[in-house]
Amino acid sequence: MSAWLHLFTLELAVVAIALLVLLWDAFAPAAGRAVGWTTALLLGGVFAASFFVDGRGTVPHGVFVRDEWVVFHERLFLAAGILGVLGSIDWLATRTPKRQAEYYALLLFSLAGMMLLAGARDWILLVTCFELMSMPLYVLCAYGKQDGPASEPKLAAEAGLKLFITGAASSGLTLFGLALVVGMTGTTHVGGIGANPAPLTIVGMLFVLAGFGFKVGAVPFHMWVPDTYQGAPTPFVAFLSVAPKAAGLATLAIVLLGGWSADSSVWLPVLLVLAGASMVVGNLFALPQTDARRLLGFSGVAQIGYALLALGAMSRGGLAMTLFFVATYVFTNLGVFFVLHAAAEEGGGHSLARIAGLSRRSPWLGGALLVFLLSLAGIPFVAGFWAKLFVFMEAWNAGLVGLVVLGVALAVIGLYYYLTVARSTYMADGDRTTPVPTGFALRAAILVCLIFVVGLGLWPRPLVEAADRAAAGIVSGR
Amino acid sequence: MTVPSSHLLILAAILFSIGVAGFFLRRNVIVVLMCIELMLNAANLSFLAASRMHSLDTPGGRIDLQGPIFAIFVIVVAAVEAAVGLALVIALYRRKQTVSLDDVVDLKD
Amino acid sequence: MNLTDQTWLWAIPALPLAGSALCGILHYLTIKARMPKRAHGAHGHDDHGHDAHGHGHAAHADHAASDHGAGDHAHGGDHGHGHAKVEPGLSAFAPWIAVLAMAGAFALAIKGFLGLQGETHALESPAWDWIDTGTFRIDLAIVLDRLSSVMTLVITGVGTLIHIYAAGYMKGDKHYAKFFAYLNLFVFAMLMLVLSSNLLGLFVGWEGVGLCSYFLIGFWYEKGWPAEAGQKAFVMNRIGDASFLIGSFLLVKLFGTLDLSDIVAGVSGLLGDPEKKYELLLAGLFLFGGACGKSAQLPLFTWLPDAMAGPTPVSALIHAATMVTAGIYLTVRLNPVYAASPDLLFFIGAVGAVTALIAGSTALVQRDIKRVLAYSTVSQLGYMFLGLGTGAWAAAIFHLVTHAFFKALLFLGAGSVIHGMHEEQDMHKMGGLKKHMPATYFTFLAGAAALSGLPLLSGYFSKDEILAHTFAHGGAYRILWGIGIATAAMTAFYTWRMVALTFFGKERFDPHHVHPHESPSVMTVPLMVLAVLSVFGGLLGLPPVLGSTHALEHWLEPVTAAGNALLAEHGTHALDHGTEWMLLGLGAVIALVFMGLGIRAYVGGTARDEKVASSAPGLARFLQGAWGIDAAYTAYVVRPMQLLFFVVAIVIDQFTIDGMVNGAGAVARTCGDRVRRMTSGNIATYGLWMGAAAALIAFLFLKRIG
Repeated sequence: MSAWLHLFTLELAVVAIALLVLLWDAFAPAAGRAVGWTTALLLGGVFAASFFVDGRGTVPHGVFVRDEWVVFHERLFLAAGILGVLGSIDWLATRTPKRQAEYYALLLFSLAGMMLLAGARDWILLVTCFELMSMPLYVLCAYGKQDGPASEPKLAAEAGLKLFITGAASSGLTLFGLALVVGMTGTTHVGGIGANPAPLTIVGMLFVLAGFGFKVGAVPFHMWVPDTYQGAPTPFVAFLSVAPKAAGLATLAIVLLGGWSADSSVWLPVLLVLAGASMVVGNLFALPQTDARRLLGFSGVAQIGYALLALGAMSRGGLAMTLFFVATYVFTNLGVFFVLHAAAEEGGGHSLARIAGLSRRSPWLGGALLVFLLSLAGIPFVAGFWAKLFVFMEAWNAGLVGLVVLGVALAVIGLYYYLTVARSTYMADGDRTTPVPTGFALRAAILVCLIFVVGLGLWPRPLVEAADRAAAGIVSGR
Repeated sequence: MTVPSSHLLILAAILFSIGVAGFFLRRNVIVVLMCIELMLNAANLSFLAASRMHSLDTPGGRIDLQGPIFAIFVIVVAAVEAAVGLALVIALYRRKQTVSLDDVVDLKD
Repeated sequence: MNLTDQTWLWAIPALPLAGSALCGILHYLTIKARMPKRAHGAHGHDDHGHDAHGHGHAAHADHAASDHGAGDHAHGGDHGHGHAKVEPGLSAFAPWIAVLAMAGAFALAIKGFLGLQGETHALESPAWDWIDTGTFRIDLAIVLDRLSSVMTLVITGVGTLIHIYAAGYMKGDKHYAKFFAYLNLFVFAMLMLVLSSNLLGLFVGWEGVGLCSYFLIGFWYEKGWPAEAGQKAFVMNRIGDASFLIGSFLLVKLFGTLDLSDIVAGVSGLLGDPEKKYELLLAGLFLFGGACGKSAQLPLFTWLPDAMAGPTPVSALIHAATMVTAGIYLTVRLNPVYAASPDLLFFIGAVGAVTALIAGSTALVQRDIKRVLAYSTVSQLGYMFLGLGTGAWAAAIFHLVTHAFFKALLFLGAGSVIHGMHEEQDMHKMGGLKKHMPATYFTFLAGAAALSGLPLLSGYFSKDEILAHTFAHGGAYRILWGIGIATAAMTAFYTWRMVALTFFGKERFDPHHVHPHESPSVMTVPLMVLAVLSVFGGLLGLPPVLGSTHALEHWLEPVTAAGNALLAEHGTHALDHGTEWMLLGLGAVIALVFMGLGIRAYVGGTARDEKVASSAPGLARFLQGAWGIDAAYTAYVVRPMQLLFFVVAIVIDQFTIDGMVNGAGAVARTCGDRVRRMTSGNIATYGLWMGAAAALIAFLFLKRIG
């Protein structure tokens, strides 16, 4: 057994940290910020170790494969996890000082699920990892102090319940679909569908796709996204809005491009419909929003549409650019939500009116928010520009002309509403003038996001190359 | 006399449809959770039915274990889901004194 | 003949970039030093504090020397400068850095210019592997050819003058260093636009200048409406950018390369295939759409007048001399793409002529001095496109260069007036300023004379050349020529109306409260240099009829050769000397006559404006609102569509009109109400929607398989 156990070194380390945090809490509860910082530093250690641990290989029967694809995703999820922990430290230590450990432990379990997911090539492992990722998220979504201010915990509970019900139903859908697929093909291997599948297999795969559509929040399965973003605690939404989506897209890539590429004419139209609908609905519905988090929810739907578009290019380049897009999206969206969290932490919610005057109170935060918003809009000198450009380029090369034109046009609307958010932070209407208080950890998290967003905007090459190597693990050749 | 495996599959489909219909139509969160369990169990039944089809209905077929193993995993998933779901319902009830989905509509435009 | 391995070329864009970074750091340090000091962080701050004080006093003394007391602060507040006293601190060094970076870039541009003499047509830096993954490769080089050399000289030369001017104009602003950081970043993006060897680098610059324009228009965002104007300009630019992107995708598909010189060289090889020729036409059309956005042509021109919300040096640099000419540059750069299709050329010329007419007539009735200049800019850009529409690439670039001189001069002069009048922009409240601000007055006269096309000044030759080319084409081009002549008359009229209202006649302000004063020499010296250039800039392109060679046309020969060769296939158009003399004479007469009319009507005051407003209120409103274009769009395009497809209405409203960026919120909100019912917050409703959608997808899916 030890012949392949080393493949799971990083995942085991993450789980070990989670257990350590729980034990710590059992023996020495209420440890201030120490728990959070320890978690973040240990995760940082795991991240650093990912550059030294050279565990490439395959588990017997090809159930789990660890290649460049997995390494890329492990690092991406670890980065999101570290930032997610950093962004939560100050908030947890002040709001729920006695219950911090469970938050970190749950987040780490979810992280372990994501990391395993990227390498899973067997339906059983895939589904189990997916649930390992999802379950803690449902709980974290409803996390909040029961006697906290006014409506906050109520909304968090509602957000958690909505995420759970839609998520659980989509799991049911996925599993029933898988029962059909596995039943018809007689194998649990992801690549077992092959060419010319039986009609019942195709119906099963339709269910599976719908289930994954829920998780990534693609239209028409996006309804939970804005509600959850609006209701759940903001530092958690930051994590929720990026890591599980990246994991969901990775799963789609494994299943569609890796496992079922033989019959792409069957699923490609569906994927493209999802992509187009997500772009249209996300962008148009984001326009009238007045709550910043809800607006970002719809914006997230639109961004998923762009990512699916590149996935629909069905080439190694297209997949690489999906990864590049998702990676930049991770840093950008984490940053946006962290800044919003900082601005709203004094209470009063996240309506656009409440964050007015932010750049006057804290020029640093206002500037960071502007950079992140510009990155989401795809403007040069920040990472989002390359992400959007590459996605459109690859989709165009794959002949998806109509969708590219649609996407380019909708990106103009995107710029409009992102700038509306930016403008509201500029307007001097804010009723507070004192600098926004931010903890050190939150500031550090925002700074890291900022460095990545600007750095990748100026020098995207390393990430493009890494994404390209990773994509080779799923789509070989050009 | 044995029941044909296809009948089992049809039964699973019916169970699944009942689950889906309930999920859409019922307003009580607990009932909705039960409907989701129904969907998962329909999945289990079809796993087993398909496995049986491969093992028994095919002359000279080998014993197919993938279905039952998958079903065991699904049972675990269902158990976790029930635990998390009921915990969420309790949290919701404590904060809002309701378990009706019609009252859970604070998050909207 | 190309010379490669000129690594130093990278320094041209790199210098402003470095300047921008340094100014950004200075801004950060200044802000940091101004922050309320915390108990434990006080050490080291004392030094800064004293330092800052010293500078603050120096700056203040400078300012006060030339004027007034109480009024000063009112204008400071107006500026959004913050209150009474702002210590510049370290930011006082920012203009030095920015101007040095610009001067360095200018010196290098001259070095490049000198290196391009004789048979050398282009200098090229070694390519840089921007991205290379084996499957995906982009490399970027800096290419200084004849065309980009002209652009670079204008950008860095005029840019340097405007930077110097801005050092005086922005003095005392709270965000002094930030301004120069943005301004230098803009120059970097603009240089990337004109120097890139491939479409991708050009696109980075293309979007980058839009971004910097957004920052700089909204620089005084605390006033509220500049932020709005910046957003509008950015979004409208982005509409053009979307068109540009699609056009360049088409080009890349056609030619299989991002490299601009390969694209230019490959055009003639494609023309045998009608399908490819059609795609080429389509690509040209989409790229022209991008040019319309950036260069403020119909229907995307309405952002430029609003962009005047930015500080005046920004208007001069970005919205007159450089960024708005990017569309002209792009068209000349890809001239064979356009030359391949006479219909497309005529379309471009028509768009340019109509834009020139609409904007020129709108400028007739504006009261805000900067809005007159803004509409005038739109109008002059229209002339340039008219020139491009006749295939007169060199004439368009000639007008671009002279326009950069005199329009930058006029904007800076207007800025000097506004500065001296304590932020007053309404010409009805000016008058008689020539004795208060002599230096500004004389330089402004030079700019006005050049803009209105008085004989022998730069604008005269460049405008006349475009009109002569249009006339020579005959046929439907004669209509465009007529429009051009009419616009020339309007140009002379509104220019001298502006001069008369501002500098001549009686003072229409209360001399007890307003004390007009001449600007400091850091502002007037750049004006003088630009005035000299505006007067003598015509020497670059004296018409052959005067017995000299058209220097600029000859210079640009290697760039325009490919396009000219294609044009020659459709026949050449030449004028005999007699006609040419007649056209030159006509231009001179029109300019002089309408200059006289303009001065006579307005030298006595604002009575004429009031008479027009009372006798023909409809006409006045029509012109005031730029021919009611916004209103027309709303009434005839948007409303009917709204009735039919509300989603489409959102899109159209977003895409076509001016009111859009402001009105879109309202429209979208009404539509939003309708769609909001779909997101009622109730999970059961969500479930039904998803079920319906899933059924639809299932239907598509199953139809597919059988």
